[in-house]
Amino acid sequence: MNVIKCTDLTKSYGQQKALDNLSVTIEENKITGLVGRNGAGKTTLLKILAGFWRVSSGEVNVFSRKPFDNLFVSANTMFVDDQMNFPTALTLKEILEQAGRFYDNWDMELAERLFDYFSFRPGQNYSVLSKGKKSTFNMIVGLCSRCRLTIFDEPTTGMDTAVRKDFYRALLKDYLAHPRSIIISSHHVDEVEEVLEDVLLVESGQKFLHMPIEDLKEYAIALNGPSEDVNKWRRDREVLHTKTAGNNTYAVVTNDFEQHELEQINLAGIDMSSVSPGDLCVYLTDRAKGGIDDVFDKA
Amino acid sequence: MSLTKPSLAQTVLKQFWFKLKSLAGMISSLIMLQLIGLLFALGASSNFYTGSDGVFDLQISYYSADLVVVFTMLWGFISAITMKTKAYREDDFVFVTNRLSSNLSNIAYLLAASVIGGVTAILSGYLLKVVIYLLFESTPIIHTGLTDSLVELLSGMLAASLFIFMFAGAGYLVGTLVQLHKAFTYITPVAVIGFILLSDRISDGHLLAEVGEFYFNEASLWLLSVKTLVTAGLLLAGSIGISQRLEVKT
Amino acid sequence: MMPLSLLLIIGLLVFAAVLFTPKKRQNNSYVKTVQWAFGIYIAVLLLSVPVVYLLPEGSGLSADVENAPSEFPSLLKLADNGDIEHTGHVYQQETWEVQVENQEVQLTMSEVNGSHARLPIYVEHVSNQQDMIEAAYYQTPFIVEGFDMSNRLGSLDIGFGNESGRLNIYPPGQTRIDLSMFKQEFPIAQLTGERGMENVYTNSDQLLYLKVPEDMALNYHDHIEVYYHNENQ
Repeated sequence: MNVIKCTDLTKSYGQQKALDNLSVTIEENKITGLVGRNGAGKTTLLKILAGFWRVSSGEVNVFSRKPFDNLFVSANTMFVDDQMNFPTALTLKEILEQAGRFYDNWDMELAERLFDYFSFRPGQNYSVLSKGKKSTFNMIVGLCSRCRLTIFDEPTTGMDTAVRKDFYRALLKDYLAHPRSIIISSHHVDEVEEVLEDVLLVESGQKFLHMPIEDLKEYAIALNGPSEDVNKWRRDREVLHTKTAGNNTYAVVTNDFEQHELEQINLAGIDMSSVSPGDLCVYLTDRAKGGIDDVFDKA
Repeated sequence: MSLTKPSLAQTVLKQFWFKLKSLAGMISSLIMLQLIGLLFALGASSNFYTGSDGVFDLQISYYSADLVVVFTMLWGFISAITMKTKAYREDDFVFVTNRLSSNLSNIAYLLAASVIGGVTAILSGYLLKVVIYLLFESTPIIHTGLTDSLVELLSGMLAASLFIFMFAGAGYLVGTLVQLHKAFTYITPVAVIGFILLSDRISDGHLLAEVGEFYFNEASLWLLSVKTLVTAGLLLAGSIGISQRLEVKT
Repeated sequence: MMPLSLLLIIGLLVFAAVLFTPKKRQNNSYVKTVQWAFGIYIAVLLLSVPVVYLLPEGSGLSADVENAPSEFPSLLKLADNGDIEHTGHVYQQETWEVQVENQEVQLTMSEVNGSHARLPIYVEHVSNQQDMIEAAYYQTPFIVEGFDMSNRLGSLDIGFGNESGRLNIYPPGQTRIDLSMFKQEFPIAQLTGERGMENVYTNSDQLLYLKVPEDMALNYHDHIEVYYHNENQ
């Protein structure tokens, strides 16, 4: 069953296209990571899925319905980002109470326990919280609503490392106990990859790739060694990234080597290492020719 | 977890109770404005008469809570505009909503608030009488300006509530227009004032007076209800229509 | 001008209002604070209703709005019709009887507020009166907004100097009346139709009626208004 289905989804602002004929299908009850550069169109996609924004052309279906202005989609979708502006008149406790009235699956017990764990005070006002605390509170609301589709857009903004770790653990635990479809958009791919099942990489408003994280981990391999040796194995292959320092070259290539080829590389004294999904996504979507070093070197 | 199947009616109801709390600031400002209105109402409007033959020099000072009612109508107008500003209108979208339910629950709240405003504004007349009686040197004739029956009093409260609701409807439309395009923030007051001035000149000053008389000279409660509710209904329906396609959280 | 105490109280109220306006930054529920404040406000408003009805109507005023006629007959007309002692008897405030021996009497009227009063004097020569002047002062009621305020108006006095043959008339001085009243708020008045400002007060008519002997002659300055009964002036 697909919880989300987009067909040629386009969102344009004047001449600019934030989303450009994006087609993707997301199955239910999976944790999907939405990855991409700044301005790739991640937030645009998520806000359209949540029903906040309209499409310019194409089709999008959430729970088999058009999400814009749809009560059903709203009731079963939770959108968590750093702009969750809760009413300023309510205390944190009152916000949790209201959330409980709106969401049928709301778990008040869990909410209260998380609330205490992260040291919130019931009488506090949301507007006086620090950025990290706000994100933490948003996370509590997001998790405890147990909506069938829960969307997190950069949920860890401002959180310190310890809290971020707690967030991922809490997310995972609750997801395992109460399965739902989760989409997380984050810059910290390497952090979040522990909880991901699928990865959707978006670039320039288009779907770049969409695959399980296991596949992504094996997508490429990094070769590190003497330049001429490395270059031998580069030929005919898609090179995603190279860095040369003196006589040494570090190259990332797609991993479609046969087993015997890998042994040969090993014997040649070239270091082989896996490429983290985070780095891989960066290399894949590298827009500029060359890297940041070139900016300084050319000067 | 099971899928939730929400109904519009239930959602509107939940939002209404939600707003009774989240819009508590409006009630707070109502009390403030009415107290300020009462303060101003302590200054009376006076009429002077001199008798023929120089036998008497009569000065009558009239007190009434009219100013409180006017302030409350202003409060209704401004509160409705505020409801449509970014800070408040997006409160709904954190939870379960669609645009129609958001507007309907807003309207339900404005209706309730208008009734509260109308009742308190008329009641404040009694508080005014007590304050003036206790605090002023020249004791007023206390049992003047009272209603003859409970029905009269309730009718007055209903009329006041209707006026406030009508002004709230106007404010809601203005707020929605601004949401449509920021330019309306200054276009609207310019257009309204310009329209008033122009029509005043064309109709030789009659248009404004006639509009005022249409509402404020209507002696039949039934007709007045129809007039104000239809006006408010048109304003609100227009607002709903405009906001149906607007994006949020931009 | 409001008394100082009132200004002080108002100042305190404004100060308290600003101070105790529920602020959202405290660690208490803003919503509950507002609910409290609103509850108190409503209670105060509701309480003031019975208080208003229970407050005594001071200053000895009584309103007889239903029965008070808004028009009273013109005293001058009554006098002309010879009807004043009968129909006008109700309006009679005071009477005097003065023995007079002179055939000529000088009428004087003292000034009111530095100008001559416009109190009309109606004179009737009667045959059956010898050496006596009967005077009667008539005044129609002074009704303001349904309240009878006639007793607040000043009264007329007459002094007679026998030797000098003068009849001195002291008209009532100008009375300053300050009233405070309440008007219905416009949403109510709109429906009950109470707002009209017609007939705020009925003007009070005054007349001094003199019955003098047939052959008595009255002298007076031009500024005194004198009417004669049944005689062409």
